[in-house]
Amino acid sequence: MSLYPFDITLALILVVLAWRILVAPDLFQSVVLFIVFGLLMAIAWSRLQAFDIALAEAAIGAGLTGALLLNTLARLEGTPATQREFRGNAAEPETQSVRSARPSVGKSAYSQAEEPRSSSVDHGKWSWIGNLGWKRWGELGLLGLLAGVFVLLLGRCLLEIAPAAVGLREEVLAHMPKSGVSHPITAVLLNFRAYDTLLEMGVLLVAVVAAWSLGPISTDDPARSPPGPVLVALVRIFSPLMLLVACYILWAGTGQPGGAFQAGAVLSAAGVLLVVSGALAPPTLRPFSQRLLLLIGLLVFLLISIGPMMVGNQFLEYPAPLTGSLILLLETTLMMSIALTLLCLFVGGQPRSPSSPRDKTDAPH
Amino acid sequence: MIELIRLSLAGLCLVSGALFFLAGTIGLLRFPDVYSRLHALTKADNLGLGLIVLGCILQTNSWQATGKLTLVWLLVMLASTTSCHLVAHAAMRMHVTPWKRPG
Repeated sequence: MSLYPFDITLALILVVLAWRILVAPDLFQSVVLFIVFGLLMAIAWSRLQAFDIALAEAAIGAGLTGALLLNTLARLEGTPATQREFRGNAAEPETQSVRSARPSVGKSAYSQAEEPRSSSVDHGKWSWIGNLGWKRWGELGLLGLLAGVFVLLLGRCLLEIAPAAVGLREEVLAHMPKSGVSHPITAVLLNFRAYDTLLEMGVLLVAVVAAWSLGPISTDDPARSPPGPVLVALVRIFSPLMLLVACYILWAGTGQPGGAFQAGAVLSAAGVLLVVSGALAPPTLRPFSQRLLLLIGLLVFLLISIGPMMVGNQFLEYPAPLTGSLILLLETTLMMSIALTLLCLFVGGQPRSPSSPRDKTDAPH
Repeated sequence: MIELIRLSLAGLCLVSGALFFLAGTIGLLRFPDVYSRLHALTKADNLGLGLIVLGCILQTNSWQATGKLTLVWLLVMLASTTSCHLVAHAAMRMHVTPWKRPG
């Protein structure tokens, strides 16, 4: 039975959903739709038989990024950043009344400049078409032209692709026995193209350092109530299960879709649950053990890639009888680092309660 | 003969599960306030997913798949009830009053 109708519907839904995310008048709607988009993308990847990417998209794209965005939105609550200027120059009637009801300190300079003109502007639902100026129409026309050219070129390229893509699939499958694992994607990620994964781990570390260097995050939020018994009970049931699932995905990655990134994402989701329910204090990255955990993935990777050079191998050439166990060790340490990295990105900065005085010298823990 | 019964029963379960999901979606779009919308959504999560899982169990031949599907259903129920409780709690704290029928 052909699944063409399903695929076409899925593709259409993705496009429409992307449009709705961009035009949603409220950032909360955008974030929720983004999480749904991540889920549908995971289904799309599954339809393309790319199950590793589907797992990663569901765990990181829909799950963790959704939590990150919701956390950010909670911290932005009440600022004018959460209410988007709807279209062009004129405002919709509903948002017009809402804007007049809000105190003027929240108004942007742009909307203040439009205030005196609003009485002469038509306020119907489709009136914004007539209310756009010539300049705006020119911009839209140029954008439409560029988009049309891009779509035409893309269509032309798609038509020229051979049905059976010429790729490295045969090469990879021919060298599988030497790779130490039985899943081709893991072999490519951690053996044949391990250089890319090494650089990715470096990028993740730089991301955490950059995010945390933007300043501390206050942990005393008056709007946040202490977690109730329901959440605590859920966390008590879920966290061992999530740990088990993460370790299983890590282990299964050698022969099936899975691997370090997906396992690290599940583990970081468990960490997020624990931090949000108050069972675990947010990581401060001051104790040496936490810093070691953050760095251990990259450190072990560097050791494994440079170590063999001491015995005469090339850079990143694993010694032949040890490839399987080295890859497993590498994946385990990568999982731990990725989990702590994503958790630190969720926390967003060094936790600091605003009631305590800022001290210049930190006592080492 | 028994194959036919099994597959038609599975199809019936899947279709009714889908109907529950449809009802939940319509409830999400049309109900007047947060609390009734949560009510509609958790219907979809509990019974809708349960029926779909039952339909899948009837079509599979292995005990592992059955166990996995049941576990998925139980975990989704746990997660959805907790999030329903949290959303309702947050709405109460924000003083969202339940909708009353006018007149």
